[in-house]
Amino acid sequence: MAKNGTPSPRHGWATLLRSPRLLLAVWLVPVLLGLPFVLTVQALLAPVLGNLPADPAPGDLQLIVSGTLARSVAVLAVPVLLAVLGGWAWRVLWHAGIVRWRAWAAGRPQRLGELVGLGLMAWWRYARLSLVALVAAALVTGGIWAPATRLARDAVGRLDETTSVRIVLAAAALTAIVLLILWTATVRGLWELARPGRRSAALAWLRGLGGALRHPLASLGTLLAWAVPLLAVWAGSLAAVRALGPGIAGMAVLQLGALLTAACSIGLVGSFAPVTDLPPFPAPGQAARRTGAPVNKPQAVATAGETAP
Amino acid sequence: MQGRVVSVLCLVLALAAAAAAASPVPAGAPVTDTVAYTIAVELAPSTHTLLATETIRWRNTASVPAPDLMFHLYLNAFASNRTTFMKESGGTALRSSAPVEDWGWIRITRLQLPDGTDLLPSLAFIQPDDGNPDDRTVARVALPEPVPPGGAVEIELAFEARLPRVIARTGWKGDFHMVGQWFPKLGVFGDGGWNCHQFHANSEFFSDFGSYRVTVTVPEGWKVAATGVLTAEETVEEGDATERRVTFEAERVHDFAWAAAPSSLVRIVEGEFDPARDLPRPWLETASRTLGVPAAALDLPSTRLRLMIPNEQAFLADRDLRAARLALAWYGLHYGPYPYPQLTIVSPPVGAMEAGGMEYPTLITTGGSRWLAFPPLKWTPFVDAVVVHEFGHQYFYGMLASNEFEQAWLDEGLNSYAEASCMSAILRDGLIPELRPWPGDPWATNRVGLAGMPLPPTVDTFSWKFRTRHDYFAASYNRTAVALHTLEGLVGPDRFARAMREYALEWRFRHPTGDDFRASLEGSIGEDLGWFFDQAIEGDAVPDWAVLSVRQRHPRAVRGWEWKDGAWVEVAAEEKEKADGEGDGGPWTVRVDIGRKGDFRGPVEVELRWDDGTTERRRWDGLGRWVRWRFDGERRLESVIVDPDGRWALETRRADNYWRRKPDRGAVHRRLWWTAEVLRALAGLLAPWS
Repeated sequence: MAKNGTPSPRHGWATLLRSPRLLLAVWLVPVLLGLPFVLTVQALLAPVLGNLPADPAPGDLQLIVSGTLARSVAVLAVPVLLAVLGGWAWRVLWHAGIVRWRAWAAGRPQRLGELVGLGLMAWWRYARLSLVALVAAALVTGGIWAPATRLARDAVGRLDETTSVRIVLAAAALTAIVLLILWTATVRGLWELARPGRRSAALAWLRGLGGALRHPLASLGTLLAWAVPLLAVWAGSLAAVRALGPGIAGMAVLQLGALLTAACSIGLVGSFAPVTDLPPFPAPGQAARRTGAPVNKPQAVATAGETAP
Repeated sequence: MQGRVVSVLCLVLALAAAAAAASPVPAGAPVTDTVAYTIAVELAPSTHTLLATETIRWRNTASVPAPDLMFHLYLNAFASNRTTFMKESGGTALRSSAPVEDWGWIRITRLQLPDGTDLLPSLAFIQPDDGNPDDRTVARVALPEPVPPGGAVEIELAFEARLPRVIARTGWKGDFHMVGQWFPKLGVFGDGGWNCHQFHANSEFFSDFGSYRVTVTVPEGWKVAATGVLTAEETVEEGDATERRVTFEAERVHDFAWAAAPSSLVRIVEGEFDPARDLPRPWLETASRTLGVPAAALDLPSTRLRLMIPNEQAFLADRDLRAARLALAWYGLHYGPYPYPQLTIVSPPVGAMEAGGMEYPTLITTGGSRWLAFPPLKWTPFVDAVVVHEFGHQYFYGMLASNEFEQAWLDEGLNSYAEASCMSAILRDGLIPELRPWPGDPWATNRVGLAGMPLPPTVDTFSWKFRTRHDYFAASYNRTAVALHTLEGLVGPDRFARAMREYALEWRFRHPTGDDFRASLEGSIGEDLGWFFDQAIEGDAVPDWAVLSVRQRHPRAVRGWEWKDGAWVEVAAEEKEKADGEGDGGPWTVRVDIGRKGDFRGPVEVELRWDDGTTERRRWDGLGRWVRWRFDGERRLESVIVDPDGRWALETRRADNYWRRKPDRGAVHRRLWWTAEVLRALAGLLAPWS
């Protein structure tokens, strides 16, 4: 495969098929991280909602739920932060893990513990990459919306709402496109950071951005090939629960949806593996020979110019 | 002979008319001709100034002479950051740093009697509410001679005014001009003297009914929408300029407002409310049944609709007009027909939104946006609710012209109640197709608004004496509306609907007070409602009921000795073996404690559902802090609900109104499963950046 090869959903499928345990983890860890929130809501509201009949007096349900939650903002903040920040930390971890495993141990059957170990060792490096991406996204979004808001407000001041609406819609469209590019850059950056000797997250992200801009169609196409089904599955599962009700069938559909979105997430990351000139999945046992990495000691894989994390 | 009889009759009638004209109006009768204004005004759009002449003919309808006249000069509220309005509003709408052209003022340049007596030297600004010397929104002018009861006076004025950049529903933005609170307008004279308040942040209306004839001159090609109906229109040449001069006339109204803008910016859309076409039949049938009035007696007249709308929001015209038609139908059925031939609606451009959401007689302002073309904003009811609300003010403010400064709840609160009722019916019956996906409930919105109040406000408070503006809104709008909804639940919807209609008809074209409203309701309903009004409107009581405890036990097994045949004998062994509280079978001793945690006293219903499938309802007078009910029998309680029908809408802490023997463990999951998905979506927002 050529250096800076083209990403393709095909590689995502290959990664996905080789990562059944990771798939289970990517599905279940967010569920576990959300559990404190679910239990807190349960603890807060069960004593009050449990006493309600099927058809309480008009408006009572809204009053009771909103009143109880409003009084419990501080209590709820902790599990919400846990779910959001924990989810972020977990994603950084498995992203780092899958890239490192793919780079140095892809020839062997995937072990979840090994993958997590690899991810943990490189976690801070990949967390920096994530922060760089977040800052970049915030800067770019701000850079679009600050002037757009000013222009839209000026148009409203001139009693020209049509222009104002057009500006806002254009800014929204531009933001969506730019964020997609930045997302692509971030995923490419994950793999760039796996290159031997590369320690700078910012540099890796910039190289990822460069790659995304050099191969916009392939990059965006691959991204959308996974992101669109991901969103469609999520929305579809919600619609299904609305139709089926939150019983066993509904929850099964919801969790199936969550499993499929986890699969899409793994496939999306795996699809960008070729961008760093990594070999295709070799037959088991060949990977170590091709990469020169010892099979059973991933912490000793540092190659020239890179120290072990 | 016949000729002599006619002559005598004419003489008697003439004398009677003269006597009527010379005496004060009998208390209680509607008076719709206290004052007559004739105004000619010219708008200079480039400077946003008005140049006008005005003639006022005023009749003293009180039983005491009037030694002076008092005027509202409300544009002076926007003259500087030191006015009472600006201080009360915190300067949020017009910042102190605003350029000088953003501020507004009014100045009387001529004030005289028809005989030429100059009254201008005696004109003085007064500040009856707060003594703020920088506030010049009320002026007093002494008359050479007092106007006796039944007498009249005519004065001639000239004035100039500069409109502010749009603020508090008046002013300009670009070429759009909303001209409200713009002319010297008399206060209300009664036996206690003039009632003429300064312009406040929270209230602006109280004046007498009369007639208006207003001629507006604007540049050629401009559209004008105004109170009343258009009676004359001409094009005039003024030097090099061609101008458009339009005359509007209105009867039985107490204010006049108008809007003007070039046709490049706005258009006029004409419509009509045709009851044969636009009155929903189910509404007519329900109203007829509820009010106990034959459907034929609920006939409504046709009304012309005139909508001024920005060209770029033309797609909203049908929606505005549809909401107006439904409002005309609902209010007409429940509070009597709309008596004017026309309703004018002004939808200001988005940049002039400060002009939106306001009521003037026969003219209301609403507010749209191009964003309403796109879902999900398209599915929200805000624009429709604003049309309904502002139209509702044609009743509660327009015809029932209460004093907004002193009892704002009488117009804002009663109208919020009527608006929520109307919007509930519109949403329930799906009469505005765009709103069918909307899940909201107007009453729930009002109640949630109240639930968040840190302190319950007292409704019956002068508008500028509330602790915060939020308190003013919560009290005057939400609390009043929900209190009336509560009263509706307590006395029954039919009786309450009839009482509200009777009030609206009885006090039409008058100045009702809170006491009048209460007396009218008491008369119609046939009950003393003092206990309710004292707590809900004049007090700050909060209702809060609760199921304090429910204890269900087997009767205690007998221990010790029992009296049998005149002697104490040891309790039989088999009686001792019965353990306390064991098993699901009876008999049971059930004890229910219902409590009143709030300070609002009143009757409340309690529903008891038994395990044998029966349900009973008990009524507690709610005067004490708690009540205990005890039941001995073969059945147990399955659930207890205080106020099961939600009649006490004013009660916002409802969680402890419910008790179940077996709490529904799956309720949280069933009702709130989606919150975990919201959290998942929230966490997913970070996914692309990890």
